[in-house]
Amino acid sequence: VGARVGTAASVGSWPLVGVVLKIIKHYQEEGQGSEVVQGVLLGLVVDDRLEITNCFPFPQHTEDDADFDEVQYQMEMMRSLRHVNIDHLHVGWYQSTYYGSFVSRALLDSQFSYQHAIEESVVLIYDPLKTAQGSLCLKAYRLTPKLMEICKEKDFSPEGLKKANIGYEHMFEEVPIVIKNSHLMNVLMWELEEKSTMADKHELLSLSSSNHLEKSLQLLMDRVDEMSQEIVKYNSYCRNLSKQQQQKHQYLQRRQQENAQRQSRGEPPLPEEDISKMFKPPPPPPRMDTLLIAGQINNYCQNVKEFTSQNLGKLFMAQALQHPSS
Amino acid sequence: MSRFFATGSDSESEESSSADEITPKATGTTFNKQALLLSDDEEDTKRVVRSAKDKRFEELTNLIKTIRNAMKIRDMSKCLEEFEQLCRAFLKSKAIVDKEGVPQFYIRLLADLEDYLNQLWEDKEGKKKMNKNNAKALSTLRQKIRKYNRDFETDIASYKEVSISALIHIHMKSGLAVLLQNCSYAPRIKTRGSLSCAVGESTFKRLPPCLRTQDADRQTSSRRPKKTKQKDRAEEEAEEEPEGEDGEWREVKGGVPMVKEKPKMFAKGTEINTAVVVKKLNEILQARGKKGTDRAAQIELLHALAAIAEENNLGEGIMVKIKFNIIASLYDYNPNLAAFMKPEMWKKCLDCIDELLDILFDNNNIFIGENIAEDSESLGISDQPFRVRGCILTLVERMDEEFTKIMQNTDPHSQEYVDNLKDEGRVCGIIDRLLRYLEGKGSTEEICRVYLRRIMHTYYKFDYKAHRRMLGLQGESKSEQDQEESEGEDSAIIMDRLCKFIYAKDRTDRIRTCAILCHIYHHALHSRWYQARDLMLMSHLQDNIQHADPPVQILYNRTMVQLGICAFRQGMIKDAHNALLDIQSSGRAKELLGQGLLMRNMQERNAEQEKIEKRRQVPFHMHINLELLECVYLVSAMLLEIPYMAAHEFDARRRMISKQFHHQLRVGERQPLLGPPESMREHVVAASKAMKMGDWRTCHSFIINEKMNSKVWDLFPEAQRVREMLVRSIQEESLRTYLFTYSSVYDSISMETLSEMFELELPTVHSIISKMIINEELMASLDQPTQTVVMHRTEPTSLQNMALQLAEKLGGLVENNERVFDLKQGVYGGYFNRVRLLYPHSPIFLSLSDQKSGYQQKQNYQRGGLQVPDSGLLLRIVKHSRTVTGGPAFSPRLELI
Repeated sequence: VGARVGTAASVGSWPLVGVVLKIIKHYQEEGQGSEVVQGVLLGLVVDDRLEITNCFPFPQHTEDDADFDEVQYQMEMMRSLRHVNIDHLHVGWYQSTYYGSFVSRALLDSQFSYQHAIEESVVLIYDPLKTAQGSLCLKAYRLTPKLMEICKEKDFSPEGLKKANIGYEHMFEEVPIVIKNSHLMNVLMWELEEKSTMADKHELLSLSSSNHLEKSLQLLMDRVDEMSQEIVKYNSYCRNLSKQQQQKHQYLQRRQQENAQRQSRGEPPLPEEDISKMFKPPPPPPRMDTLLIAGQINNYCQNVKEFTSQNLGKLFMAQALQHPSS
Repeated sequence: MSRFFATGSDSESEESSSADEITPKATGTTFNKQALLLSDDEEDTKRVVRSAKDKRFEELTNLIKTIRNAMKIRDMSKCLEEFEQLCRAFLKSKAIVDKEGVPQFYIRLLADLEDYLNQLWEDKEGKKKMNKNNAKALSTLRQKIRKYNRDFETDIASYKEVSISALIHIHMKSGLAVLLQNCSYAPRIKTRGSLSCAVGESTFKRLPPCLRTQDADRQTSSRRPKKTKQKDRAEEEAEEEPEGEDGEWREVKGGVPMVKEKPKMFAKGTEINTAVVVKKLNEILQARGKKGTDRAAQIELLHALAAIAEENNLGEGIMVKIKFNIIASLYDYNPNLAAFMKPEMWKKCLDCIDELLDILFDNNNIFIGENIAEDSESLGISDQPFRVRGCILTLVERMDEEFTKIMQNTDPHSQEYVDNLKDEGRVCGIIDRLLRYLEGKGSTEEICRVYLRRIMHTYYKFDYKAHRRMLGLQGESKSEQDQEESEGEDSAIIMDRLCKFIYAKDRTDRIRTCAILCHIYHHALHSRWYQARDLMLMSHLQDNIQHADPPVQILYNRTMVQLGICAFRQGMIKDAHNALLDIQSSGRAKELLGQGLLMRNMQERNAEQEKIEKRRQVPFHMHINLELLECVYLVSAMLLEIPYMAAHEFDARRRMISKQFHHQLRVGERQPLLGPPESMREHVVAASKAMKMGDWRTCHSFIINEKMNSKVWDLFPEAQRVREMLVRSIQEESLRTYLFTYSSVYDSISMETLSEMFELELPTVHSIISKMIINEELMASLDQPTQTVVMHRTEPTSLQNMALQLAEKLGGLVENNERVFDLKQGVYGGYFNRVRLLYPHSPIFLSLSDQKSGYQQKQNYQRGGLQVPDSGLLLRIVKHSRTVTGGPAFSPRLELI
């Protein structure tokens, strides 16, 4: 395995078709509805790109076998792979998603730990629903260096985030994906294409939209609710803070006046008290969740937008087909 | 019996065994002996008094015995300890001692102990040998007893005198005599034979002397030879006894002051007149409330006094006075207010009150009142009317409270409870009599109070007679007694009369409040809904009941519940639901109605609070059936909620009519396996599910069936009518639900079909649908010629609904976000103002404000059920949401729009 690329920012990923098929198969077999499946990506870094050459799934485990050790399992798996001389370098992980909802704290945390340990690692997000509609949807994400900094410092207070100058847009960066196949495989495919009759692809032209939109809207609404709550929380925090500031100010003024009076009377000034103890500022609410929700909302909106624009196009097309004369 | 020996236990076992055989007789004789001392007519009274005395004295003698034992083994610390206890015990029995004089044995112990201690004190050698504790105890005890004995100086002196004068032989006889007088005497008898003599005294009388000695001989001879000397002495004494008996008795009596057996009411021959009796009465009453007073004895004394007064014809005045005091001391019998009277005591009290009322009714010339001063009473027989201090009303009220307490403390499922409950009739009788009495003589306030008592005993009872009369079922197969009973006034009329009097005359708010609540309750119980409701509304109790005390609040809660149930019976579902909502939504109906305590941990309520709460409980026979209550509530909620839910299926701001009902639904949904319903709740939940589908038949079968009948519906007096009402409501509400749920499926629907489906008459269906159309609940119009409902299909689709909801939520979000911004700027609406200032004519501002009004428009659409705006809206919302999701670093991304 060659040398690793220092700057992770320019990493492009090149998964092999085999990997993609494995991921899809994994979801087909184990994923149900909103349940997510996860797995480990293996591969190597070549020049400035990351080649994902293999993967294996995390087994689904219930709460009954709590003593199941994931790390142990991964190590075991990788050791076995090395024995059969397959690429066994850890380069990231993959996860399925439900209507594009993946921006969550859990994802952030695990991706952070991946990127912290293996700098070039990526997370592949696979959307089975979109794929089922006819277009393969696979995206690779990495945390931006800015976000990495914040996560390292674990400072999620409003001030910290403000200082870092980070918005929901700057949290994740998408890495372009190129899916490659071995040349022999390509040749085989060409041959097969000649022979096979074209499968009917109705999904692509399906006009029904309400189901998908409803689901998306439902999820969007939930996030908006959460966002509202977060804002209310933040709002009350701000109010409390300013109220306390006021009180503190008043107190200081009173103290000053009193001291002035005492001085004029020739008495010693009142002893200094620890003001920060008397007015403990309310704990600032962590803002990371808000950012994540905002990111997620953004994600949903993109999805809906994409979907609606496609659908509108389809609708116009259908209209044109129905009334060819006009 | 064994106490007998125990008291004289310094005698050795030989005597005990001989005594054992004779004691049964001995006790008998001692009692006979006592009986002789008593005056004939007060015999049984005395026995009680004696027993109380005995108990105290026994305690003393037991202590004395241990002291003597300790003295023997020179255990000074034990001695000290016991002595302190003795002093305390003596103090406790002070009341008896006051009456009887200081008991002889006590004096003797004091004297002996002092002698003994002095002796020890002198004995320097022995003192040195003592261990530290003992020595210390000795000095303390010596000081103590010196001080203590000062109080008894004369007694001790006289005792010493006697003991010297009759020392050698006689002093043991004195022991015997004293023993006979106080069965629990601990004689300081050094001679061993005395006990056997004492106990066997009666036998001695019957048996010839020779036999006696033989008997003693036989027993003692088998013992250790060491005792022979003593045995001889015993024989000696035994022989001596017969001759000396009489004389010695006299001597003892003269020497030792007799313990008064029983407080004689009056010295023999005293002329018994009013003044004397009153004096005696006061004497007895002085002891009242004092610590060591034997309350039972006091009651007996008062009874005795009453008997004497009656015997001597002292007139009713004094009788009334004594009766008052008897009842008062009966109440006093329980020192603890929280504890309840024993039913027997209470019954006695009931009798007394009855008698008192008899006297009061018989004699018109007795004035009683609390305001009559003690010294202005006139009790003697004269031309003037009697004047007695006391308040019969208070006594009756107290009696009633005690009755409640007894009922609270009896297990409601026992026969005992039923037995106790039978006395309720008597209580009512007494209250009735008192009421008649006070109507003639009492002040307005008193009448109000007694009226309230009467009301309290009436309001919760269902008047079956009146009910039957109303239904016109008069006299078919009724016994004569029933006939007689039904002659009486209807409880409604009584309630009306009493309550109106109180409304007019009462000046304390509390009585009036209670009366109003009871009145409402009574109305509600008898299905006079409008009267009950009007009274409730007119009284404005709902506004200020939270200021009342807890018992009144409980009464209020009971009334509200009864009102709700009444409304339900009348088919006024909404009213029923509203009335019951407060009680049921808290989930503490049981507690709020005072029908039981909720299990709570001790942190929330300590023992004291628990006691208070327990005292507030309503007796079991007045309980409102909680299951009935819950069922009525849930069914009302179902009839309201299910159509509402169907109508507002997509409404984001749908509020719940009844949280409790939703909770039950959720519980039902959570069930992994749904079997046929068992409990009342499950029935209602199952019925609700059926109703949701518009399936009224299933709903009906779940609500009204065998199980529910026996559990709930049969508890109503007019069960059949209620059931009919229910079926009708279910049909109507199911129809509404059906139309809400499935209107989008139909283009048009024939009313006839509907009327068949729900088994309702055509006009009813027509009216229901018309109402729905008028209220804009149903987007349809009626086609008269074909009798069909034509749907307009203007309801938004679910996607549109979602979009609307989202828009609303986003509106809220924007508002919240603005608030954060305002906080930073310090001005409300600062954001928009700022935008306007920055870009006075910018289209951005316009578009923003357009959107704002757009939300309002949408709300209007929803309400009016008009066509929703085109799908472009969705895009706009999506765009907008991007603007506001900036979060903390809120940077208005205006360029997007």
